[in-house]
Amino acid sequence: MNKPWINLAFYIFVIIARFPRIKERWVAPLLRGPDWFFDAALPPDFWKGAGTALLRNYRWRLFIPWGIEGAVLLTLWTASRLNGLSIALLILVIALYTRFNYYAARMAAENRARAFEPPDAIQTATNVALSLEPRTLWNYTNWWVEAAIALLFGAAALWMAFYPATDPLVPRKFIGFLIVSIYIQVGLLLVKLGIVRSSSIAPADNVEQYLAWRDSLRRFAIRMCDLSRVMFALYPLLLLSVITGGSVRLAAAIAFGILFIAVLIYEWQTRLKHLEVARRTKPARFPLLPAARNVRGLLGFWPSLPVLLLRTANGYALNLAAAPVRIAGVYFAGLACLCVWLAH
Amino acid sequence: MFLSIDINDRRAIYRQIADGIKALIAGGQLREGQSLPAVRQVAADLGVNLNTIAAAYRDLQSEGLIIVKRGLGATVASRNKAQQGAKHSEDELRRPLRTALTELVLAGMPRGQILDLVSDELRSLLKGTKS
Repeated sequence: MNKPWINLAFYIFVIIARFPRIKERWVAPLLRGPDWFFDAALPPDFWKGAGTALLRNYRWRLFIPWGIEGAVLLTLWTASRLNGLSIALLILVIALYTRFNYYAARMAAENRARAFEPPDAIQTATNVALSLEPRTLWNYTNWWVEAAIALLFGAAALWMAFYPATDPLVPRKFIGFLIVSIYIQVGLLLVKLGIVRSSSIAPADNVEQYLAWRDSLRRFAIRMCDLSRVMFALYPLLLLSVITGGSVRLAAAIAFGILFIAVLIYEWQTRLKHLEVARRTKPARFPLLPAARNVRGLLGFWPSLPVLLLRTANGYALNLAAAPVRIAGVYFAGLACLCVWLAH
Repeated sequence: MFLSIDINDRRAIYRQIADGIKALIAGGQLREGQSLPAVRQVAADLGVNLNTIAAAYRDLQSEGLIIVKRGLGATVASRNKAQQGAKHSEDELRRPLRTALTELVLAGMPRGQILDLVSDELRSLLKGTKS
């Protein structure tokens, strides 16, 4: 099997890995049963009228990234540019776009469904409750995960130290790769911090169930973030096995494949547990903040508000003054500088 | 442990937060040494200005009910320290009670109902305490 076919096989593997997520998004509007469309309560005749078209449109929109991805993939294949880097970039860009597309499709469909909602179906909660439990990164740290990451990096560094390199450039390049990997770990840790700090209020008449759902969502997102960190920490070892070649490469590829499948199964099972909690939780509607009442666009600058996403009448607006935006800016600028420095 | 905020309440949000935490301390649900969430966490949860929450915490600190340490967050102070810190005269303590009772009388509530109401509130406030 030559290299383009290996790349294509890897790509097909990644596509198969996405199926559980596609299924989840496909059924997401009906998660709470036929009386709901996402968080919008439905009138009895909704599915006889506009509901079917609304659901069909939402589902069609989910396939837009697939169409784009297919076209790009075909172009890369015909131009013989289907290599490891182009595949990695395509997966990253499409993954981000798919997520954005899902939220946009969901928001648009949900807003349209709300027009059919009976007037008193969901009251806006004016009495809200918040938990007084401090949420810190420390409280949400799984020390087994941290130990595994440290061990993986340590093992990669040790392997490199005793690796009999024939090409003097290999150790230097690998050290660069290791530095970038550690930088990515820092980035993922910042994402985890953002998840820990994500806002959490509940309607006062359904506090415990609602906050349990928020906590389930937070813990699920943190688990996925930790899993990503472990998988990224594996890459230096995988790269070393590729450089070493021979039976080590084959063994590493098989081990990584098995681990990847195990992670996917774990992810799906954890997701199902979380979805069960979400299914049982009655949605709540909270009043808009005064700053959000007249917001129309997707971006804004509200230095006095410590929120990243401001809920508006039509969806959400990104608060460019929020600390995570500044941190992300500095982080990506640092990543660019690091890559330029390592390239030289 | 939860803190309730009513958007339609006439009191400012910082006041509601300070009063809510005070009630939890008085009721024994928040005990000495227990950590409170960071100002940023409460502000992000409610989607309000950081200064709003900082003002509530400042009020509680000036009354000796919580101890705020930079970088370490806020913890509930001991009741003895709070009592020393507050140093309220009896007249000072009576004043808000008198204001509340005046409101109830002006609202046309009969004496018996006011007494029941006060008694109910006191019972629910002291639910978590041993005394």
